[in-house]
Amino acid sequence: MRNVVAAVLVVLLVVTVAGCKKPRRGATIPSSGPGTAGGGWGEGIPLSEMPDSMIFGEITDPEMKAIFEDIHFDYDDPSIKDSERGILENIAAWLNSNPAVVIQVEGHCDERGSNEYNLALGDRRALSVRGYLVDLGVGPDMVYTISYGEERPVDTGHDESAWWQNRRGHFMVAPE
Amino acid sequence: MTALAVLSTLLTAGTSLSQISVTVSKKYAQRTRIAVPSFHQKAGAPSAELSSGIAAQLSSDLELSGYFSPLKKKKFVEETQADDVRTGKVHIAEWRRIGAEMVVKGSTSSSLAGVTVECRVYSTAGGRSVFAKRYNAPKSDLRRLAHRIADDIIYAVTGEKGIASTKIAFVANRSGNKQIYVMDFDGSNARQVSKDKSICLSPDWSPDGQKLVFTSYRRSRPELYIQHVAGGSAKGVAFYPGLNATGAISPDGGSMLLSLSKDGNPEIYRMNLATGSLRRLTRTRGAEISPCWSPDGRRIAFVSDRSGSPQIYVMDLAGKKTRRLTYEGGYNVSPDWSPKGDKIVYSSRRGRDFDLYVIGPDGGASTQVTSGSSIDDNPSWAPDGRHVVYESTRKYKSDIYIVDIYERVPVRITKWNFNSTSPSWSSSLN
Repeated sequence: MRNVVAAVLVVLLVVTVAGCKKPRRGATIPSSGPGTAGGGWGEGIPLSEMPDSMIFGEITDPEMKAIFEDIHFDYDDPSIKDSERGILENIAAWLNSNPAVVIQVEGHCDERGSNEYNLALGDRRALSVRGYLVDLGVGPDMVYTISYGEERPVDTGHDESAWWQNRRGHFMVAPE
Repeated sequence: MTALAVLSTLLTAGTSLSQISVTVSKKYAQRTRIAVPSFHQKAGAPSAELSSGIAAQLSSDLELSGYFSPLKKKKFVEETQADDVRTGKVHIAEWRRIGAEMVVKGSTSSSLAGVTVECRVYSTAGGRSVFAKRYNAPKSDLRRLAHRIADDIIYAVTGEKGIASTKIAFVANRSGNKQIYVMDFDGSNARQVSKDKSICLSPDWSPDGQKLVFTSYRRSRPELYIQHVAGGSAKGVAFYPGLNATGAISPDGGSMLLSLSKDGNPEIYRMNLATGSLRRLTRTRGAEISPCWSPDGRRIAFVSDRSGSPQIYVMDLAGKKTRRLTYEGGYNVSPDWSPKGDKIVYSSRRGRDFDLYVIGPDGGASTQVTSGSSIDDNPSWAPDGRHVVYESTRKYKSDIYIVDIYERVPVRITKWNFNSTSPSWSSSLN
């Protein structure tokens, strides 16, 4: 019993500390276009090797699904919008209390622009999300990133609403 | 009789009679009007379709080269040819009268190997022969033979290497997944090279025209592979964590530029293809992608958004000195360096559309190449330094076009109902 109480206290403490910690990278800088904000800088957080066997799948658990919502981006911009920070804070809190869970952030773009440049932009979006989560205390090894550029739209329309849906960070989970 | 004997001695297989090259001085301004009648089918020749098929392919190749304008008066051309065949003479004055500055005279006959094709080109100003060559080819290979004849004629007449025997690699979503394909320079003969059930992107040729490097998600992550065009399986060459994309093999074949995000941000690296060792070339807060080589291998161009918007940059590899090349327009991407070294072609957003522009590698004024309400992207130079292949998206449908940067009349070369994108032109294959 004492152990359980201690464990709960530790988890609470971690969550509280993480919650108070100011993100260092990107998130606190006003967004003024690529190159000035977002987690992926020239001196970014190096990525971890992903085991070959690691395959990520869609989140099916209802509780997780409610927390791991897609976050959206402005056109041609990898930085985290103020409106999306709440989602990332919830995700960080959840990950911090479930430290064994490994996730992957997919960075996506809308169909406009160069498909090669969009690969880089999608990558920076995923890296921005990762950087934000790491700043909130999530272990860098628990968040993998992948860019799909403009290759995997959720909405195949050609209007503002479709483009908004498609400029997203989407979360996947590794089966335990 | 004596003259004929001399001619047939000169017409031994594979040797060119004509070293006299009539240089078309105003080559970018004016096309030479050329008559390309059906080849004369000699006794025992395979079939009439073959004879007219070679001429049709040759005519199309000469037209796409930019140097020639084949006569459209099909009826006159064939009648004049019939007269020539009946009388055994070349009626130069008659060819001149119907508007031809040059005339191609070909004949086909059966041989052990398949088909023997003799081809001569006469100038109608003076009537001398400016080209003569005999070819042997298997019956199944006559399209390739026509491409070879076209390139030989272009070289004899202009002194420039033709592009009819080159190939274009591209991405098509025919199977439901984007896959790598290769086709002839005119859009014919398309065949699938990559065999994935995932996404394949951004093919780029090795300088010998034997291999392609491309990005594939076959292991559920973007990694770079090299595959022989002739067949075989794709070999992984870059599989670092994060993004592995836009590989570009150096002119000497020894190294590859690529964009990697393993250090936390998409940056340009150079990989030694023999050892796999990496050298990091950029270190910025922006994303770097789409590198390409100068033909001497000393400089590179790439896209970076370090200034706040994607722009083209050029780096001197020896000193790593980098300068921004494009200042006009808020979105300049997809550079490719001319094989002649003097120009870089890229795609620029102007309003809603993207058009192709060329600019000198040291900056200066840019020149618009394509226009109109389309999204033109991913340009790639032909080895002649004159033609560019690119993808053009019109009403959400993407096709491959080629354009002569001097004439600026786009020609669509893919005619199917699925999207074709990201073309890459091979180097000269002959």
